[in-house]
Amino acid sequence: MKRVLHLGNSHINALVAGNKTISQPSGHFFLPIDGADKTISPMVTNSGINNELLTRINKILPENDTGKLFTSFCFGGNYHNAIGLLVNEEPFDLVVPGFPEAILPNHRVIPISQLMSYFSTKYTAAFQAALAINKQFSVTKSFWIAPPPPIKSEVTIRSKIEKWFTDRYTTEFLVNHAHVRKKLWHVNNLVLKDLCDKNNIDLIATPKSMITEDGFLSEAGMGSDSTHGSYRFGQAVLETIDIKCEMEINA
Amino acid sequence: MTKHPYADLDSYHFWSKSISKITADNVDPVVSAPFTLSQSDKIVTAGSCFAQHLAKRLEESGYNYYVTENLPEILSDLPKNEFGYRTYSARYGNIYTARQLLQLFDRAYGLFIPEQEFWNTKGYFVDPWRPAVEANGYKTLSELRFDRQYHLSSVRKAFEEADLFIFTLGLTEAWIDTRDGAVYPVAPGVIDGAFNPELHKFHNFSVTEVLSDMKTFLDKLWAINKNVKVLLTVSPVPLAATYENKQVMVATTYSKSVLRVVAEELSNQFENVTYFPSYEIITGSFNDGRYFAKNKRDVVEEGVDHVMRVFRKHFLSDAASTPIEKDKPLANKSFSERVTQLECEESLLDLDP
Repeated sequence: MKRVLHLGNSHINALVAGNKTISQPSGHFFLPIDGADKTISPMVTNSGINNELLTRINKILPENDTGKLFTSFCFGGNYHNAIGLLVNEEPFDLVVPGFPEAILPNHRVIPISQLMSYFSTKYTAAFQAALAINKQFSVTKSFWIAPPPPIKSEVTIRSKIEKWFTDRYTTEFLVNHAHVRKKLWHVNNLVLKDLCDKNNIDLIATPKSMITEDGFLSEAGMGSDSTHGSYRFGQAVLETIDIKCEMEINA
Repeated sequence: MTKHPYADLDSYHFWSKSISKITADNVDPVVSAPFTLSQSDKIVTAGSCFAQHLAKRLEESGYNYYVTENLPEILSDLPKNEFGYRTYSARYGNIYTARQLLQLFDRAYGLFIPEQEFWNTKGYFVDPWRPAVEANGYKTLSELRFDRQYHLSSVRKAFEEADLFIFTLGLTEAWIDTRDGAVYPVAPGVIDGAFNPELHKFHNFSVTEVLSDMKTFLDKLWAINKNVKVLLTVSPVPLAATYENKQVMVATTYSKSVLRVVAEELSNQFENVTYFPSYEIITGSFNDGRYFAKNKRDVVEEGVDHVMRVFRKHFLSDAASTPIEKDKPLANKSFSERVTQLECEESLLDLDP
């Protein structure tokens, strides 16, 4: 039997919800990490993994199960939304190879390498934690779950938007252009892919069933707010991980 | 006894009174400043690497170091100097020669479009006219073009809105594109691009040429911003390498002499141009060479402190502002801290291949 230890911030909730819909025991174990929880932050320091975090991990893993251990991480799933969901004071666009949409007029074009540097910096601490955990628990294979793509419809976003975003606006907020949001998500994933490749982690791309033909989050994949995935999204991701674990176990 | 013409001159006229009998720290080569800056005056900087000192210190002091091309707002979590932002008022990188400055102006106003639009020898696109600002290059030519448009609009804004333009003259040696006369900030092939002896010719500018370029630039600058004052300095940093068939120190003396003469000519000729003698402060024999690092080329913080102390005394109106000198005593600094950290493409010429 496999054991998959999932750690992540808010995006882990879609997985937790998805897990409830599949047959049990599923072999998936979840440890949501609240970034504001000072008892487990930072997750890793020079002296090693945070003790409280270690305790919590050991608590959720079954004691006498010696099945192969896998890890899955979904930290920082909203980094691209934090800078791109709503229109900024300085509107921007980006040129991404393979995205033919015209650049929006009067928008500053930010070079991709700058955005990649930004995302890379943001993910550094989480990847350090992931690597430390993988080393500590001698995992068979490790996964990183790509965040859900953006919702295309501005109307849908407005109807579901989280307080975190609107709190950052003093006036009526404006949703960023869908293509800009999609390109940002894509660049975010390029960085994740690069970090995963460098650290021997398998990036779990968003399941095709959760993406519309034009590359946005499908209706089935939408959670209760404007950025997170639904239980169906979580379910599809867990199925992907199960297949990969199975292949690994049988290899 | 007949009184000779020097008898009644002020002490600054005399080496003994203004140098020999003064402690090195107190040597002050500025006689008077034609203006003082208020904290609201917009100060735009450009030039060779040494100009970065002025920019950094003015910013730290609370003066209005005017930056028109900033790190994108959404990336404000990154270090502010990342990707060459805030090194100068716009992201043009080092401007070593007067011709390069004039060329920047002309490019900004669409008066000149260099034939060499980009370099791509490493799998990404590089802007030949500011090759060091985007460390990882541009992924596409389209991206480079958009960013260049934004950059040049920021350059226009800086030129048009500046109250003071500080320019540090750095070099006379340059590489010129034979197709259109465009002057490169650094020889093709050093950072990117491929050196082609048919296309890329070495040129060492003369006094006449530098003076002409600077005058043309000033005419154009004042045409769009008639009140802007100009403060010129000459970089005290010796050449990293010369392409002349001369020893590098000899080539340095020629280069600095030309630039110093041009600065003098311009400040004599134009009311709105002032020469600030940072060159003399750093290279003067009074300091026994201690303003240079062990490599006899880089300038240490102590020298910059002296420059800024004099600049502050004469040109800044608010003495109560945040100190322009570093608080940390020099003796407590490591050698690497003492050698100022600058972005200098030119120094790449002196690295082993």
